[in-house]
Amino acid sequence: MGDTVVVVGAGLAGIQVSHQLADLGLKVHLVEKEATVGGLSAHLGKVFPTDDCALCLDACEELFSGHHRRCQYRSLLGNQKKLNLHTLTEIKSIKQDGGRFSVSLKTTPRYVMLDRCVVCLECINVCDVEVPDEMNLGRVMRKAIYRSIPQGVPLAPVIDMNSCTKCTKCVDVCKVGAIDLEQRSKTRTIKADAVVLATGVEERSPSILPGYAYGLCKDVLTQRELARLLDSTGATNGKVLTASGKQVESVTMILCAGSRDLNAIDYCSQACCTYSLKHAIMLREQGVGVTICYMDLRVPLHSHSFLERARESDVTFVRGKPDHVIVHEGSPVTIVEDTEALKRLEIESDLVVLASPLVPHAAEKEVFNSFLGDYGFAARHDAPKGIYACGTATGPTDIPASVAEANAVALEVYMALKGGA
Amino acid sequence: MKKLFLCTCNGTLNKLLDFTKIGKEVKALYDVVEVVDNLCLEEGLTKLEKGLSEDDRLAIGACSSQIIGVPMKQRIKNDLVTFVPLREQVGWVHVEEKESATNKAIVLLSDASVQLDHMESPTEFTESVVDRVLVMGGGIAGLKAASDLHRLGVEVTLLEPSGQNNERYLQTSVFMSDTDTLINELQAIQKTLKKVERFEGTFGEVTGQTGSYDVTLNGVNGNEKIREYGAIIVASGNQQYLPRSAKKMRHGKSERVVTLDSLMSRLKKKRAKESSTILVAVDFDAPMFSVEGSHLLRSTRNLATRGYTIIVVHSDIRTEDENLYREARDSGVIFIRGKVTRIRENEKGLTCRIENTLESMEREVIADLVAIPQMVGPVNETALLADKLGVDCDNNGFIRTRYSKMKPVQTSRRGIFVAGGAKMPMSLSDAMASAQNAVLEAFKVVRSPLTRSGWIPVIDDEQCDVCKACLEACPNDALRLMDDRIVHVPAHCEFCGICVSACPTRAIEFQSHRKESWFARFEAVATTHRRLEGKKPFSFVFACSECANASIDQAGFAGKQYGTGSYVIQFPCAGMVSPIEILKGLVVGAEHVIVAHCPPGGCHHQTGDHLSELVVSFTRDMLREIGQDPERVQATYMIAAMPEKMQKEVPVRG
Ligand code: SF4
Ligand code: SF4
Ligand code: SF4
Ligand code: SF4
Ligand code: SF4
Repeated sequence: MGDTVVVVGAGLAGIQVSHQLADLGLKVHLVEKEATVGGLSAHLGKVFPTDDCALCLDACEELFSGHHRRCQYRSLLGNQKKLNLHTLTEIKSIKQDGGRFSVSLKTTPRYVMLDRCVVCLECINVCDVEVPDEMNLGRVMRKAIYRSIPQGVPLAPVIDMNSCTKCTKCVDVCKVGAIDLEQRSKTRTIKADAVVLATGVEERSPSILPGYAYGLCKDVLTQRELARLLDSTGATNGKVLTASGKQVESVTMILCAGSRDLNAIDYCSQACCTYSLKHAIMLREQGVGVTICYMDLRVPLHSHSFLERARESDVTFVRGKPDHVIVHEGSPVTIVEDTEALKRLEIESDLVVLASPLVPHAAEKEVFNSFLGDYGFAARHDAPKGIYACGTATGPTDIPASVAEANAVALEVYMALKGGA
Repeated sequence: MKKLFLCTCNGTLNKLLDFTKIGKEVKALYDVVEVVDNLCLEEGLTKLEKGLSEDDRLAIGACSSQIIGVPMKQRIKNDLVTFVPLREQVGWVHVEEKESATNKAIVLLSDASVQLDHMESPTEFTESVVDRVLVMGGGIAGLKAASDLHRLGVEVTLLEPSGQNNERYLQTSVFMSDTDTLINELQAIQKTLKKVERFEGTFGEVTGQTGSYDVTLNGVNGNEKIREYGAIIVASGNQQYLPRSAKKMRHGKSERVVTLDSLMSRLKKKRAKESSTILVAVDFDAPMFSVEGSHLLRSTRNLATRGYTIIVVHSDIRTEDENLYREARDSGVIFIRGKVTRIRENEKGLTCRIENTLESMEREVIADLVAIPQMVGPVNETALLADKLGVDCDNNGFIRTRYSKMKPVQTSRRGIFVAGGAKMPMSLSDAMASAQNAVLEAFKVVRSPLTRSGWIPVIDDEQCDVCKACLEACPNDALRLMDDRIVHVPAHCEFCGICVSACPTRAIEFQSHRKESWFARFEAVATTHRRLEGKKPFSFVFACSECANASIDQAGFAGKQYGTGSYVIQFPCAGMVSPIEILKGLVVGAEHVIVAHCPPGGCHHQTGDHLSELVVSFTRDMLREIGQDPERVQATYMIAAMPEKMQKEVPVRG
């Protein structure tokens, strides 16, 4: 049996499974379509249940004796002998070929060569082109050559060719010759013995639910967008401002906005309750008033302290799912039937934050379709043979569950390829 | 020779710092000072290799050790190396203050030179391991773990409680999944266990260390065996028990009040005769695990489809499977949010009063039967078992893992792992995954000899009073009492140095981090600072090398500027800092000493965050007593997700 595994998606689960497989001695190609790894967690800043960094990774055995967890930037991902990281790379096709797979990859150019760049950031300093920074809701500017988040791995910047004017200023300051404005896309095919889908989830854009005024009013955000505002490396140093720049004094959160609802997405996204609570606590720490409208609070027991802390910090809880949000004099007003007090409430606030459902990334891509089941989520076990999945690709879960699933899949793959009788 | 390599980082760092001045100032401290432009690239590394002989002591003034440290050490053989993060922790965070930043660089490089003088080679050791694993079973995860290990070719002993059979497995796992799936899975795994050694009984003493634990096995028929195991997996499983409210619900007093599970087995597949009403009273106050919720929904759905009228009185119901909720509803289960406050029995049946605490509304329902869902806990023996193994339990009696987010099966003791319900109630698929996790970790332990390298604590028997404070403090069971001496077990040690600060007589010193070395370093910092910056005040930040250092690096990446009179001194763990170092810092003239550790409960070495807070508060008390300002000493946590922490903590002065 061969020993090459392609892991699709370098979010937490993808990285975890790759570390484990490489530690077990298999050859791993970790494929990520973005310029940096981390997936959804790269947007989140802090996470439950431990209230520490979202970008924390379990350390690999090879480099760190598996002893500690490591921040993404110091995890030396890709420094493991048997782990190849391919960023800005998409899977073009997966063909079954005997007992193996031919996985064809297409890498779009970064224009910065990873093996040359020393991350001095001088190129970013000299670039004159500024465009709105999508990572920070377009509220600040970034350069044409940029790094999306401070921790982003690989650390080297990337050029956004749509805005670059090819003025070559960056090329001139880069004395180590790391920038190549003429870099081309590359395709390659890898023969693999197993494929692990760790394609993850993304927040679905609430614009398809017109009732919540998302898109209509700039002060209706999703929880992910709120996380960007709360992140101290973000645009406002962690201060939460309205779109017009005013300090936010009150926030209304709508849980299950578009999930657990047969007309939208009927599953529960599992993690939203807890991360909404986490954000509520962070907002309370800044003195912002928070109201949470919910159907059920589904907080796993290991994160129960978040619920207690939210209650202690005077978050207002309203049981009831708001029907809609209207815009009154520019500010959002949430209309909700309080099912406990049996009262209809109109809640005015500076911001409305929607816990939007988490939907599978893989579903966007036709290549994966034949491996996906209900809602576009993948089955964890190898059906068809040799294809595995872990993390949120198999359905929304929280980080501890993703990590445990990634480890379990690593063992399954190892046993299938190497493991004994 | 002592050599210094400075990197300009592609000709940028020398714009932020005056390299000429640095070169001049540190010339006397090093035998060789060399400046390169790209130390981390092939050409830079080649230059480094060429300029170095094996016994040189080396200081690197470049980017963060966290980025360049490991790869560089793979390249060069020298083990006496220190890194000064001139980029992340000096240049990038003091862009407006070139002169002071340059001075700070010189101070830190002087410190590095003293540090190199005191540096010892890390201790290396290799220990053989036993390629055999003990699974302490009882739960279904234990069967899975034994089965997978066997398939991996690892020798396994499956220890099971006396009288354990399929019936018992089923009964104690009933909440994990629907019965058919459970039976199938159980039979399938049992088949794979034909060649696995099974031992019925309990265990007595466990001694030894990861890679070789000696375990006494006590068989049911009085036989005793001592066997050696490389790793141990605890999979003792669950038992169900009645919630506190059961008595109030008249359980045990009325024949019509029963547990939901006993009702299920009593009614087996029977259909309802006439319309009998069953009220399911969920304990209102106890938080529910999602498996308990799923089990509740599965059982009530099952009864409802057979024609019973089911009313579930509950607070929040958690489940990992939304469909169960829907199916239960669709099959006619009625859900009422509230609490059953009283049950009265008469000839008509049971009159149950239900109170909705939030609405302060009350209503009454008449039921033929009241069913009480049982709660799921660890088996009774878990606490005893944990005690014998020396691993920690949580408040509910489940075995605690090291770090809830990412160490799913690692207990507080190396080489001992937990699988399935002994950690928390799990669904069948989660329990299987948990068993696989434990197998993976155990496999990594037993598959190759243990090799480690690091600075270790050294115990001076002359100084030691055998007070055992270090033994208590060591979070990894790496110090033991043997023949009235404290002995270090390197296989368990995480090189944190917590034992150093715990020892009241300082009979323990950590290699390369001895008291004299700290004193000399602090003095070097203070004198150099004064020579260059005169009366400008300065502070020390004693930062752990994990989260706190990461936060300080990230301040650089995020461009969070802070004052220059701030000297970060790396400690392996903040738990190593004792009042001695803090007070010495003040004595040499620091205005503040800030001890920066990992987030609360998130110390990489388990207890350093907590211990360093204690040490700081103790030191503050001392200062207060001698009439000094306690505010000069602070403890705080720093993490990479909060790169603004340095900005907030470091007083900007001078
Ligand atoms: S190791 Fe790094 S990422 Fe993990 S909690 Fe600490 S600072 Fe955060
Ligand atoms: S591309 Fe060149 S200039 Fe830009 S960060 Fe990398 S080394 Fe520096
Ligand atoms: S070439 Fe492009 S990226 Fe480089 S400095 Fe010019 S505009 Fe910016
Ligand atoms: S306290 Fe830390 S350094 Fe000391 S023996 Fe224990 S693990 Fe090792
Ligand atoms: S704490 Fe110090 S004195 Fe006490 S037993 Fe340990 S080494 Fe000896």
